[in-house]
Amino acid sequence: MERPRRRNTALLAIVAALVVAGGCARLRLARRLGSAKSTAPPPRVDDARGSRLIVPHLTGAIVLDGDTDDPGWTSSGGPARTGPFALPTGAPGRPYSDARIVWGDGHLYVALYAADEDIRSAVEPHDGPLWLGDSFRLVFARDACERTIDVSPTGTVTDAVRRAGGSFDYSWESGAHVSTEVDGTVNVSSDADEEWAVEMAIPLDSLEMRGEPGEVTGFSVRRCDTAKDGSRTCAGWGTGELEFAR
Amino acid sequence: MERIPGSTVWRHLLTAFVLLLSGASFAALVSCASDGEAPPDSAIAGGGAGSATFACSFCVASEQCHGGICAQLGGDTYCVPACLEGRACRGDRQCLAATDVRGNEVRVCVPRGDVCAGPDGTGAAPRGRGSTARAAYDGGAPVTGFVGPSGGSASRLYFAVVGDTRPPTEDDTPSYPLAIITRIYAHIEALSPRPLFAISTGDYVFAAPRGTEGATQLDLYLGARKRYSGTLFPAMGNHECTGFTDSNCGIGNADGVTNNFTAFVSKLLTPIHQAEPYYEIDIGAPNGTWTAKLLFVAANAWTASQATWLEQAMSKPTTYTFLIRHEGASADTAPGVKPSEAIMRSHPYTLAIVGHSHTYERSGAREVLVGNGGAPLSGSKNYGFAVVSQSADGAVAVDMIDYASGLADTNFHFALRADGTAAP
Repeated sequence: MERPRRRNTALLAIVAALVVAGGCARLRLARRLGSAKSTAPPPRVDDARGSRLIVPHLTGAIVLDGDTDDPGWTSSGGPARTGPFALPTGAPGRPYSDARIVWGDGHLYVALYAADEDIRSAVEPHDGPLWLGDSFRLVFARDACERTIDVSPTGTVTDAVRRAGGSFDYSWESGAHVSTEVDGTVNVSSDADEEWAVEMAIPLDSLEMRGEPGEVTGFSVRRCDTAKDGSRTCAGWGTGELEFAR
Repeated sequence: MERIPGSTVWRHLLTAFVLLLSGASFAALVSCASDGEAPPDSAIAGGGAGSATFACSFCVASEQCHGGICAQLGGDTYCVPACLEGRACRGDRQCLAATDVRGNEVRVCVPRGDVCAGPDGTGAAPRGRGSTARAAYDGGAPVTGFVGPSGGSASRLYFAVVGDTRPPTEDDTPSYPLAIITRIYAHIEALSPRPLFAISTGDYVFAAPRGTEGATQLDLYLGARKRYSGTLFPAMGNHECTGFTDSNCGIGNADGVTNNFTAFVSKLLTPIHQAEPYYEIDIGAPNGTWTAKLLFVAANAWTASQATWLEQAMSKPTTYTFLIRHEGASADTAPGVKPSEAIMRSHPYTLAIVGHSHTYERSGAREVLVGNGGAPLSGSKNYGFAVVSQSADGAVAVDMIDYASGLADTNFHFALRADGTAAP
């Protein structure tokens, strides 16, 4: 079983300690979690790209119903698009996934799409190890804090925050409003599913962002999927930044 | 080696230290895995990894090009840099007008000489898409005859199959896979011999069922389909109803008459003189040595009338019987899958041709899945289409053609006799 990637070195930790200054205002004492989290099988790290996405301001309403037919998604100019998620080689990730993003009304709106012939959702509560099943992960890195939001096909959210070098605090709540739309039968592998999609609104203040043009946050997004044959693949947009446009 | 003056050395050392500090700082921010309690792989691993890798790498969308443009060049689509005003191309490239993957006029830096024919744009199978072996497709003996909206006659059965062409998400018309489906139909037209007709396995849109984008997307599809001069016989998919696999459209059915259903009927069925989403097309040999019927089943517009029609149609003896239905037997939440499968089991047939899953495979002894017509791919295989070809011994062979190269997947080939048993 593959272990999470570790990059710690003494030097880096020291430098990080110097750099970290007052970030993670909402970081609370880490709450110990059950053994499921500490032994969760890590997905492969194989998303490959990333850069800076210029995120447009909302130009129309978005209704969180799992459908992206709202003016906020479809109006002229459209949302920022990651394009098809990719493997580190640059090859398209399969099954296909992508993400679209806009901001406004104090929220970051994210639409996630996952083609999926066999939708498997970890049967876990909020803040459980959703990554045991098919799931998306969004990571926001800012002011020495890393905030992760995992979301499953059934709309369950696991969110956590950590200071550089620290452990994850799952008591942090992103306040993300999530709606999903599933075309298929979750956790039934005997039939053919088609896809699942997530529409979510993340309060910007939970990300310690002001919601102003020009604001930037580190960002990555990826999706892991287990196929009918049991093989597991993770692909993503990579690691980069979101910049809020006017 | 060139000597570096002392002051420069200090500057370099200082720069190196600053770079080390800043790089390490960022790395530290992103490398905090410490106690195994963390969600796996959450670390942000370095900023802005997107590099300018548009050295003629294959693409289907500009988002894949890291700031470059996915442009149509030399019969394929490749990532190339834009040449904006005041920004010259690299020495080995020249700024030329081109068309991007969505049909917009653009100016891009194109390699001088061979257009994207170097090591990175080989013109052969694009990189990073598996190791599928491909070879030129042999369409076999010439075909004569004519198959129009009412069927027809042909010296042998020889037709193309396209399936599942839609954007990934609802109403995202700008992401309609126009370049892919255009190329697919261009390849079909260019096959030698040219298929007498084509069939499609459904899902031409992804649009709000009561909105107007469905009609717009169908227009895009029809624009691409014009690249092929033969008749197209379409099956209805779940996205021509509400989008859900378990949806059921039509008068009297649970989901009623959606705009997508109406647009499908008016734009795809009316041209072939069909009023219902289920219908039969008959084809035969001019000398009467064989007959074939193609039965288009609409599992997302399932009614008792359709069941009766299917029962009667399958009872009619023909040498070959092809069932074309959007959902395969395993996608049995579609209202018409189980009942139509039950009818099929009680009658002879040659092959069921289905879509729904966005890949291709022989999905059963007598079922082939062709769903790789531009919709977001679910498997490792590439976009493309199938060709069904009747040989002199009466067997029908099925091959898959890659949309980018026009070559056949040599790992995918099977043949059936008219009764559906395997042929050598």
